[in-house]
Amino acid sequence: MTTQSLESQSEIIYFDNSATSFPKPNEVVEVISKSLREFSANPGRAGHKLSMRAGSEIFKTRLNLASFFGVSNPMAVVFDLNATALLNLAIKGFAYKGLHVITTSLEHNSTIRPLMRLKNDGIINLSITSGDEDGIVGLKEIESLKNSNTKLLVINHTSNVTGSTQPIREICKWCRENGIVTIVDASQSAGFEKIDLKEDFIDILCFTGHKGLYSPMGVGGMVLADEFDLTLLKPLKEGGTGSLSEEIVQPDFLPDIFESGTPPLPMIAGLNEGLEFVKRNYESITKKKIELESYFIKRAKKIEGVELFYGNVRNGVISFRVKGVSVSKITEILSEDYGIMSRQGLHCAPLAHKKLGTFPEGLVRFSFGYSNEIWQIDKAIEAIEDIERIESE
Amino acid sequence: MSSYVLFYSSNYTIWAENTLKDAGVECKMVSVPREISSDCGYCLKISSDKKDEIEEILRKKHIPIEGIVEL
Ligand SMILES: Cc1ncc(COP(=O)(O)O)c(C=O)c1O
Repeated sequence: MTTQSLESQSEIIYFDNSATSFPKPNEVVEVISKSLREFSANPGRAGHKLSMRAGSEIFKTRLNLASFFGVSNPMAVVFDLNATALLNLAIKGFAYKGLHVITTSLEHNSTIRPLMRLKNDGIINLSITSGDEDGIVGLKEIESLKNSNTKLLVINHTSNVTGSTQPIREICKWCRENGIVTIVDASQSAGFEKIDLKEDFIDILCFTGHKGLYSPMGVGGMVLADEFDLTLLKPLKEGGTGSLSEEIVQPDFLPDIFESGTPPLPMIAGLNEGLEFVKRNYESITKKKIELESYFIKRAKKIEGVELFYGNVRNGVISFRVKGVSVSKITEILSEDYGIMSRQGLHCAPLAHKKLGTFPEGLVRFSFGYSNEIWQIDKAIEAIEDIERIESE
Repeated sequence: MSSYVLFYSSNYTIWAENTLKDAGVECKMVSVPREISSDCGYCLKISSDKKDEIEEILRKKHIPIEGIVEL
């Protein structure tokens, strides 16, 4: 595995991969630069060779993602800016007056805010599961919340606070059998958890490129199940698609129905390379994340005054706090004195922090990536020991 | 004789081109001739005697064809 090596990077320990993965693989950087130099014409908008080349790059990415996520129709892969854009599309494009939606206590604001908007506008009714101590949802609870208007479940696959991961296959299977459409937020899980829309009974999957799929920021995707009834989902934006230009109404077929405006070709090419990187290195990336988190837990558990929040699976995401020291102080010291990049606060997930009992102060999060090493964990442990000792004196 | 296979979107044209190339059938992506349509995208130029075979391959893949025009 090769990574971008810059002088300044050697002093930085980057533990914020859940916010965005860094550094990006060299192949990703290369293809973006190549696309800008060689073929970033407007895809699908003109009849010239370069536009076709650009269009082919996007198609290649759709095909790759369709196969990666277990759908047979490459047109069922829809691109937009990030997971947030696509979750808004999926949720608001599906909602109708009187709909009852079930969602979870581990949601990120990118799902709960659109849902709360619809609820406060009097369009939908909303139930939020509590789950077990990690927020993991059981079928019994979903069943108890379901009523005759329940036609949608919105579920965050992996928590960006603790890494807790929902048993989506079991949940989505039950939903499929009970006439409930599922929207799965795979922002944190894509690239780590194996996701297959067919085997997992998922109807709509939304992901972002810039985390576990190693694209730059600026592209995310929505994948629709092969059997998904497209009439259930209205587009939120309309405009130029390069298709049916004589029509003044939006095309009604995939992916054009949801993809208006010029797409970010270099980012999409980057996403394809990022996905290739994941496929090539899947075993080593996942093994490393698990190892690093497990090692951190083992060592951090021994520090008095440190409380850890790591959920039901090891996947490189862990949060903690140190008794008597504010989380902002901890991240500041980690960054300034030790060169360790972490993220403090509520992580755009106030519900999850309420569930953990860490609202409104929040926690410090470490999220490990393929380029992190054990010695960096050792250094972080030393740092936390120092912080705990100095601050408690 | 050449024929032009038209699609509803260039996304489909590219998908079709890919599919036909995988099947070893010759085709060329070209801009839509003005005589056929005012659309701004591209279509596939094929040899007319391959028309039936191509339609069959694309039908199997569920790639919708807008029309085939012989010029
Ligand atoms: C669980 C979860 N959902 C959604 C998002 C939103 O991703 P993006 O900011 O790329 O839209 C994030 C990341 O911040 C996340 O962790």
